[in-house]
Amino acid sequence: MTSPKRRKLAITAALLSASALLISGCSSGAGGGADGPITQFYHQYGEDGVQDAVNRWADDYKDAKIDLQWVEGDYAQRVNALLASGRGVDLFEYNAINVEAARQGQYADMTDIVEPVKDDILPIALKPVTIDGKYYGIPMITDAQLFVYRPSMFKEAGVEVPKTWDELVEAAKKLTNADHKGLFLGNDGGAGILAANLPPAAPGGIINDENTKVSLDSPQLADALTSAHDLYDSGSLLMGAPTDWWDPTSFIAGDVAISWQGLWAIPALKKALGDDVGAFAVPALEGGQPIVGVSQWNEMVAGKSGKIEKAKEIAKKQWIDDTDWQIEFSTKYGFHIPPLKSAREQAKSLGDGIAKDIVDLTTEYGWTGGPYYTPAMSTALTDAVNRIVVEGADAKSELAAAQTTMQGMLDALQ
Amino acid sequence: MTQLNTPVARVSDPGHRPTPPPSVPRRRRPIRGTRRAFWLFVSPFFLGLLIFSIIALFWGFYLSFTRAVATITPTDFVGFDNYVSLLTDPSFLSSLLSFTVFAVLVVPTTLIVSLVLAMLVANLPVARAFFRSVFFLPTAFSYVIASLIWKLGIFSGSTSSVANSVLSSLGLPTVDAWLTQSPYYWVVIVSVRLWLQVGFYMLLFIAGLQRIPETLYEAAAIDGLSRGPRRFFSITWPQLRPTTAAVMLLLLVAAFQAFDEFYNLVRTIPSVRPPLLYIYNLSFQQLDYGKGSAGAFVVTAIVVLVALLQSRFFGFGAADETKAPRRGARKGRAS
Repeated sequence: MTSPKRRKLAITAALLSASALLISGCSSGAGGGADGPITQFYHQYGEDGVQDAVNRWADDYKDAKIDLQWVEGDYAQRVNALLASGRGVDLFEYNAINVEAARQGQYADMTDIVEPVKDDILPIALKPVTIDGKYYGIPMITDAQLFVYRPSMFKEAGVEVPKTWDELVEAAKKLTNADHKGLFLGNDGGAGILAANLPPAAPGGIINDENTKVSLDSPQLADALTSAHDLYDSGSLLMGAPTDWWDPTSFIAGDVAISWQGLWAIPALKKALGDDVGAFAVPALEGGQPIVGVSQWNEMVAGKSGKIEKAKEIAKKQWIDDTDWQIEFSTKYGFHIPPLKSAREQAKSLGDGIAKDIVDLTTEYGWTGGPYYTPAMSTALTDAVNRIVVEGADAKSELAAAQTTMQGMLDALQ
Repeated sequence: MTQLNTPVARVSDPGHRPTPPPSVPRRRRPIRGTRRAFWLFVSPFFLGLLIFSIIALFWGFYLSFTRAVATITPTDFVGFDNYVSLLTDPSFLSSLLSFTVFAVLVVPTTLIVSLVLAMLVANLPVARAFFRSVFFLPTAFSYVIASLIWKLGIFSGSTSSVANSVLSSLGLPTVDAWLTQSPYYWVVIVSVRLWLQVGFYMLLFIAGLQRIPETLYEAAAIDGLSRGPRRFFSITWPQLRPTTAAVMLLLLVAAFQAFDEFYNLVRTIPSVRPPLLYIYNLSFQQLDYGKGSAGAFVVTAIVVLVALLQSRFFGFGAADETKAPRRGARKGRAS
């Protein structure tokens, strides 16, 4: 017969085991270990059909079983937690590569499969996955952000497509009348858009190619941001629209003549406006270069996965070898640029009109900060630009302070 | 009274185990003993508390003394560097200033509005429960959804928004920078929080009003003080002191924890970024868990300090609560 003391101990142990099982069951799914299916993560795409398409591709892949996780909510947080813990995910898409995490081995080195095709990849698309000379991901889809405009409104106001920042400011003022505003840079008055896209158009960009030096001290940049404050005060900016710049509703409704916009909106713009829509890059500041903002999703493998080689095989098959899949994923549901030349050239919907113009502009002027331009640096710069543009703070001193702060952050990454 | 002093009979006494009737087959051993039942029911919660709160708390404290970037198992001990870096960061200090402005605006506003509402509702001759529910309902509303309604519908900046329509009808110029410029964004942020939480504090004040002994008002009436502000300031307000102190403390703590409406309405505006949003950016965008944890402990320390100071100056929890018999207090009565 069991003694009461021993029975109590057994019950306590059982309860603790049950609770531990419950908790471990909550914390993650499969993945990470050496056996079992490959766990592949996707964030929740807004376009209809994407989830069915990725499920179908996973089902059709015969060399391994893929356990597909469609993650709603804060995707980056979930992935970061699993990568840090080393379990729960093998293969994942990602758009926020972190230098420290790469150096800690949270991402698998994918140089061996990217290097052979690197000349086939959109030039700017490799920057977001390159850390310390190694490639940590395969570019999946590239999105471009730039200005779109209404040629009919330009013609009516006698305005040409701006070639310089000053011309853009003047155009925004001329295009403003009782019916519509000149320019839409977002409901925050443009600080976020300008912080991300005006400094790269200035001499020196934000960070040099070696990722060692921050440059925000050009007088051209200070002057441009000061004029952006005048623009903010001029009443030429559309602000307080029901939805923000990424939604083309206000532009389609004719509330504004020029708008910051992403490639994803092009099908809706073409459908609503036909040929009455054009696109242009952020004009170069004197001595700088025009730019098209680029954002991107990349396919990556968890560095602590027990199935790295198998996961890399799947990533290569899906995002390097399977051209038809890349075209389908980029152009059938949403509207993105396939980073691989083979897919880009075969994608019919990118081959003419404004879509082709944007692909050409992106190929020539595409810019992205890359992993060394961290969210902390971006926040420091955006805060400074916000104070300049919205509050009218002195541009030179704000930029100098931001440069010092950001240089300290960059030095810490060396 | 004798009955109350008698120990409550135990449902199951470990010292006395009733034997089941021999004819009934024994299928499962019943759980006996209140202690075992207690642990059976409490252990899942306790284990959750231990893992997700207590261990997490100590782990966070450990992280705050390490260089924990993109990892929660750091090995690089940095002493107080994270705390020093945080307390010398102009952005963090600016976030404390944002909180101060927010607290100065939202705490007295909510306190006054909820007190006035409580007095109005408590004095209603009819439909008291209805109005109490109406004012309390927004408390159950999501901060995120309320923020979106405020952003897209009421303060959208378009001429057709509710706020601008009101301004137009009053002959005032409309505002298109509700969410980007001071002082407009304070109007948006304070009003959404006021709407969401005023009902809860109104209920606290109603409870406080109901605890005021009716005899005080009767005595005052005999002395010729039956209505008006003097009766409020002589009887109601002093009697509400413990409730007011509690409401102020809760409001301050809630203000310190403000996140949802700031994140959804003004997250890109540096001059209105509260401490929690700053810490969120540090931890989950920049993956600097060490500095983020240090920030959490600094904010906690400030909240504790504020609570202690308030307790000292306003007497929350002090022994000056009304000792009047509660059973004697009838329905709320206020001037």
